[in-house]
Amino acid sequence: MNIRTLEFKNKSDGWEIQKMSFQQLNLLVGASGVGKTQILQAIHTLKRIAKGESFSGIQWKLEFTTNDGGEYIWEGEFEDNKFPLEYYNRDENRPSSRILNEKIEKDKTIIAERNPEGITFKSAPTIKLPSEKSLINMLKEEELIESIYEHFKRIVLPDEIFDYNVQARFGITPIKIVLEGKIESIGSIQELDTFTEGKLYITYHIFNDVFQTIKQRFCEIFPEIEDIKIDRIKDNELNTPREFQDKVFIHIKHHNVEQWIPSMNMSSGMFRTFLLLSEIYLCADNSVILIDEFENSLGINCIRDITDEILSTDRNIQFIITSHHPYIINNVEFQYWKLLTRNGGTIKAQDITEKLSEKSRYERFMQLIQLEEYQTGLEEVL
Amino acid sequence: MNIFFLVEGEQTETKVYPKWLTYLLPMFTRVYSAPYATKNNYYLISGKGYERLLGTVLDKTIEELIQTNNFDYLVICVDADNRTVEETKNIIQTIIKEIPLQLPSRTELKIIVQNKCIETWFLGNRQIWKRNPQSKQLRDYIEFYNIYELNPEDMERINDSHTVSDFHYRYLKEILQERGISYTKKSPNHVTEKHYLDELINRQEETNHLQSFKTFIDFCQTVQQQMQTTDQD
Repeated sequence: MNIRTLEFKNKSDGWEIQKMSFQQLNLLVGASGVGKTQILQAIHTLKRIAKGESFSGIQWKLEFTTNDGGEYIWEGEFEDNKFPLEYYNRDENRPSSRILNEKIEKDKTIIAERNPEGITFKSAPTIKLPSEKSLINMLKEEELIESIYEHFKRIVLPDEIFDYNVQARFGITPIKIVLEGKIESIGSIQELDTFTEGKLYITYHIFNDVFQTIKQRFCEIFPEIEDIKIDRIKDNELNTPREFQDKVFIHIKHHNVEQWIPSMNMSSGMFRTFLLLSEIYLCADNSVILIDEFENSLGINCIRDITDEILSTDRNIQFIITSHHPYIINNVEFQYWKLLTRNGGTIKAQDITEKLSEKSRYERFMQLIQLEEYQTGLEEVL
Repeated sequence: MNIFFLVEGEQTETKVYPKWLTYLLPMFTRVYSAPYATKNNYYLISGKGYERLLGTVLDKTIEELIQTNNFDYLVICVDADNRTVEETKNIIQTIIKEIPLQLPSRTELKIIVQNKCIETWFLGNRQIWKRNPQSKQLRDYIEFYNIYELNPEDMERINDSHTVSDFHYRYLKEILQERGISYTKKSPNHVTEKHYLDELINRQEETNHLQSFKTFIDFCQTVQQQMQTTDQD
């Protein structure tokens, strides 16, 4: 999917994002605490709502397109049970909130609508459906909605990639390659609804040429690395703890070093770089990749290369990135920037090109740090 | 007419000068990128410290001025710190001469040396003065140097545990604190007010102290006069 605009309100926590627009590449910049992460979380929350989760006090409106060229608007509102968003990630017995109203439009025509009187789909009333789950989730079997549902799966948040993949450092459970018949091209792997390391495993075994491309790119960033493989820990089979025995690991091999190093012993920057690179090559077409604090745990050598990789990829991926790093900021043109400010609970994105010019001879980062809004996070009052 | 300000300070100057300019040169509007300057605009950039200003930033600034070729003044505002005003000016002039690029002929260079630093100027306000302050620290400072009577620009440091500029900052902070006013480099709000600026101008005119502050006020008056002449033309 390609997100065009977002409006988001969290009534339970008392904050909102004023309508902001997005392009293919988006660099969110702003003072700490201004709401960069909240924007990524808001988008990710919408993915979870599409998948059927319920969140107290959330109101939203999202305009997006899909690869069939359809222009969609999805809006809705949950009742406010004063249950903070943060708790949803921790509390498994969380309460459900009802959706008060919801609407899905395609090319300016209403496909599905919910209001206190009931739900209509293609203008006809539906049977009674649970009020805590979104229409996208409940009607996903319908042809008109299926594609929307599938597109929401393509929103990828780094917390998902990285937190989950921290586990990958401790081994990947091999996915049985029963999918063989279905895997006809690398595109089929990209479309798989599984995490990156699972895709990597299949790519390694079935499309080794693609794996070699990722490997080659990785070795360019880290010239000291000679080879990468995905394999069991074989060398010390007898000494391998039981929980690792049925798992495979990403392994790297340094030049002039005989032993392979499994992922749990790799540096976190190196590991993160490898997974991010793999994500760029293996995510589904039309994915939306959300990267918070891009530079975290990446050394200067990786930051430059990964930034260049993102800027030069010819894949159809929408990137929404937050960063404070001069290299990233200097290399992304002003037209892709969103300067965020906060006024109380309201987060607002500014088009920076009204203020800063590409014609200036100063580096972009130098220009940015001059702005009062960037230093304070508040809108300029002068 | 357009003016390009390059200031040393990272936080204070970028707040004080824009506010003071609204009183002193109200016909000028700020732009946030030099190429956007058209008519009666000023652009202000911080060099983020003395070393950076004189290093890469000054080079880039001259490039920027050549590229835009739309500025009548380049005003460089730096602290003297432990140098004299003349030494500081000489350093900047020498560095500019060494840069292979030349300032455009339409752009006049004006160097404002804050002697010792911008807080030294703020110390000139006699209205904030208290004869018998509560703070022991402040009483010590006053005993060391009475800025009500003597020129703040001539004050050195009380001891060598701080730089002279740090000491002037501490003195100002203490004196404002005594009045219940909080002053930090990040939030110099009180000193940006018009009544505060007016007091500094009064002090300068009545005592002839704050000569380096006067160079800034004189510059603004020159610009005012030039604007009037242009209007008459």
